[in-house]
Amino acid sequence: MQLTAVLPARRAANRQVDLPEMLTNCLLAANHYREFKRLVGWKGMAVCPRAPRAWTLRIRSRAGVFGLAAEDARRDGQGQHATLGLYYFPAPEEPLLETMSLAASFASTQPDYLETVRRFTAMGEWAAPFRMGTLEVSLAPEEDGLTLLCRALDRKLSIARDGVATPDGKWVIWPGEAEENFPAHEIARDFFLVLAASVTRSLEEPPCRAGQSKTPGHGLFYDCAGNRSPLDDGISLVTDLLCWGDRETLAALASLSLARCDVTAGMENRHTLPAPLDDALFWKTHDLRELSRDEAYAPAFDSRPGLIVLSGFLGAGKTTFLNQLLEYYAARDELVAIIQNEIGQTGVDGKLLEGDESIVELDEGCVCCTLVGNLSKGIEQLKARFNPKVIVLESTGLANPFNILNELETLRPLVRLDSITTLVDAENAPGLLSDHEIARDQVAAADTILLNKCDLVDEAERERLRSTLRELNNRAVLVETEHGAVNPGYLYDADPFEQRAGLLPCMPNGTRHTHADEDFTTHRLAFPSALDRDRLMEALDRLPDAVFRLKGIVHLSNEPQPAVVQYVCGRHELSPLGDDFDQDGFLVAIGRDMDLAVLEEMLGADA
Amino acid sequence: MSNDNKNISRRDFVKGAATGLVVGAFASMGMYSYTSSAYNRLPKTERKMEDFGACRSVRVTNISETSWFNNAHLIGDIHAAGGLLVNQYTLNWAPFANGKGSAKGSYEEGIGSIKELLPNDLKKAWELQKKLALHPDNPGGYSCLIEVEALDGTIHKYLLDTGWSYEWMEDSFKREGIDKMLEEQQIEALFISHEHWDHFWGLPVTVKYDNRIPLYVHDGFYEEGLQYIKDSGYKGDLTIVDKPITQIIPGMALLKFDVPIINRVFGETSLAFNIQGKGLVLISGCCHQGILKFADFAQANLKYDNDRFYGIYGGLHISPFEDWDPKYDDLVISLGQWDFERIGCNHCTGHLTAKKFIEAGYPVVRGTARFRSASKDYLGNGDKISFGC
Repeated sequence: MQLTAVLPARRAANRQVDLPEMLTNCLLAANHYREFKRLVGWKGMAVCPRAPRAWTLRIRSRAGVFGLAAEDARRDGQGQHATLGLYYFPAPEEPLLETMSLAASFASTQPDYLETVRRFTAMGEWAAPFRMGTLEVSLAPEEDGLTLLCRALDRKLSIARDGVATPDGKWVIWPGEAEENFPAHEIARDFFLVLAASVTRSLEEPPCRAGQSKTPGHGLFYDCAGNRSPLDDGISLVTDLLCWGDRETLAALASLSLARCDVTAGMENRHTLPAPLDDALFWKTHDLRELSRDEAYAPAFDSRPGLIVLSGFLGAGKTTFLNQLLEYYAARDELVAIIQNEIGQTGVDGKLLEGDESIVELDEGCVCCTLVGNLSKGIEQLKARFNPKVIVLESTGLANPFNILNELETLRPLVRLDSITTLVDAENAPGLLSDHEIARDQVAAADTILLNKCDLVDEAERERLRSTLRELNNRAVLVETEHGAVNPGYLYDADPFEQRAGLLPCMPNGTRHTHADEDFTTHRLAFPSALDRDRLMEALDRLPDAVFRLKGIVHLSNEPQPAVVQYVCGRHELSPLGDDFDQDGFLVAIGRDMDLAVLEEMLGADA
Repeated sequence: MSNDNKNISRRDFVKGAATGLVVGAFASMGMYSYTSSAYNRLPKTERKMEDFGACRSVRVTNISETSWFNNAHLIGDIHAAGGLLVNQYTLNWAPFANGKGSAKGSYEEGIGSIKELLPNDLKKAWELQKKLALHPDNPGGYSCLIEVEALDGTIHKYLLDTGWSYEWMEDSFKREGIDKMLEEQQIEALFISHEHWDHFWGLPVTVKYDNRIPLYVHDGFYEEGLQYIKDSGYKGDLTIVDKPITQIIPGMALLKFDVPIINRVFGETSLAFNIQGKGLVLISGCCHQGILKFADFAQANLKYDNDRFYGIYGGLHISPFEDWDPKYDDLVISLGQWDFERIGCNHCTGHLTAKKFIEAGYPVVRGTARFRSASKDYLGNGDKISFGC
């Protein structure tokens, strides 16, 4: 049995082992494998802060949050043992709450419910109605055998003999009706199976033995005076037991538990176990390569990078959002590659991104006018050089993402479409959506709509805009942000086993409007000399409405830092580049029938 | 009570209760789940409050925080080799390269090419390895100098981590005068926070100047790491840290965290200081255990002045686990709850995260972006931060 993935390699013999920590290390180490994470539907885990030692976590099979609390630890001649309490906190709207106690139901309606869940062991009695069962873990004295068991009632039942009534005489619970009646073992088992699979992954061996036993359990019959008595109603206390390691060692360690099992089996005869123990992942996760050959698990082993198509009209905040994507993935030691195709001869955002060489600019100016061959070539280049986890295709604000959708079938061998994300500028969106069919198509094609710059509009305007967006696309996830501030983990790398709403079918004629159909043109101005800030601001104020978007980098006289110029629909901003820039200053203007005289007259005018 | 009264659904009742009723009233309605006898009580845990003394001040000099210079090359190499689980000694990076390409490196073959040159001819050793390594100009390294002022005014000096590139670390040590401090045995110990390449593989540079410096490493170090300590020419007193808390001097303790880390590394040690009259300062190399666990462990186990957290410095990863409900500002929110007075971060905190702290009005000490550090928003090479001065 190999424990060095979860315990220190040079630990002293016979040292006290922190068994709850060892188990959470199994989860941590196993989830370093992306494939494992997908197989078990891992959603994340958190330490309970400033509370008795505990963790909260989420997995695919349940909408709510599990809690795991370290309880007692002890040693004896048989080895080291620890007990952990297992809790389940349903999602606030989860139907399970109807079958749980009134205390649980009440707790889940509180506005701070999930924050309270995060530190449930600091809350004393509050957590008790959510308890599902007990986990026990034991490690043999020579560390050559490990057992893990989960013990829970198949039904947690309590019946209110006298009923529960409100002060004004309404029955909340009829006399003789159950206050609690839920399948605790079934819920606890969902987590137990994930934990067991992570132990197998971390030890790199399957269990040598699994078993299950059922002993008589009981519910509770109580009255309004607090008197209670046991209720025998066919309830069982179910114990699932797993053993890893040396059989002879385990014979001693688990002999009592195994002797009580109604059924036990090893790998060779595991089909004799009750479902789902017979075919659970804990028999298989020691060898992910073998699992990858099983068609049933294929989605977990899809190694194609996720493709995020980032769309949105100019000025909606894509650059800010891109920077966050880059940092989010870099913090996880994953690489984002970006295909950028901003109109204009200089990709200004390349100066604002901090992704080293992970930016590829397509030779053509606009992906929607580019043959798919160029896009495939760009993606192949990126995959060959960087092995990225995510590829972000930053399509220009004038591109129609439906045209990209038409080409995705060709790209399918290279990438997996994760999301079409459209950023919408809350302040300018109403005008853009009413005036430009491209903007409407960008919203219609989206899987995720980020309504950005929400701080610039009031609630009534936001409500009207939400309605407009929903009319155009009622299936996308709509997220409201300021400065593009949303955690990418909330949006991306969807669970491949979860059913996702399909994209709208493409139009049969295949081609949608592009910027060329709306007479947008682009014009670049170079500024070899430094500009005066005040004169530049004045010129931006005087730009005609025909100029839709302007961006660039310029040197300003009397200022050490070059400045980034951003202009969209009459709003402009100058901010420090924060980096060196050795080339001539430049501005790229995009619009319709533009008269750029106010900028051209600054050419040759030295400060 | 008549049984024919109107029923109210459970959902409507609890939602109404949220606004109209107090919990105390529930017990009188006969709800079992609100009686004190309903459930066994959860176990209580007492804070241990281990007293590790106090010191007057701590000053940290960032010798180098530029662990490597090109993120795309580093992550690309890792993924080309098979991903985040690949043993770091096989990545074919200097100083353990064998020229055979991705995932075909080897500790034995790499060290074999330079062993006779360690620790006294590092320039030649590094030149030799660069010819064999992938991306030979990428290595940098992490290291900082910690100066602790005891209550009696004595200054104690320590090194946290020793970087990666022999070339880069040699220059960085000279820039900050670390080479002379080592030669004069002014530095009382070297703490290697964890076995990762950018914190540990530059060990020969420290050993070159002081081959007997007391050395502390986590008991999760693997065979290759322990062998490298010997092969570097180290002759001193090696402490393999196996206790959760090790007091170093009054007011300074080494905390041990057993946590699996990527590229087959296990465990990290971090430092805690009790500043007299101010409170606790936490200093880490990477903080792979996560700031949440670091702070929580310190609070549960240590006694410190004013029972409050005063400062933090290092790589501020929030948690080794992905959170189940990720927020945009997870780390900013979490640190805010601990109410630190002084925060120093470096690049592995992330540039945008450092900006978020500043924008949120947190007391972040900024840097000067010198010696190839990329931004002033975090403490860079040559920058200093003080706690308690």
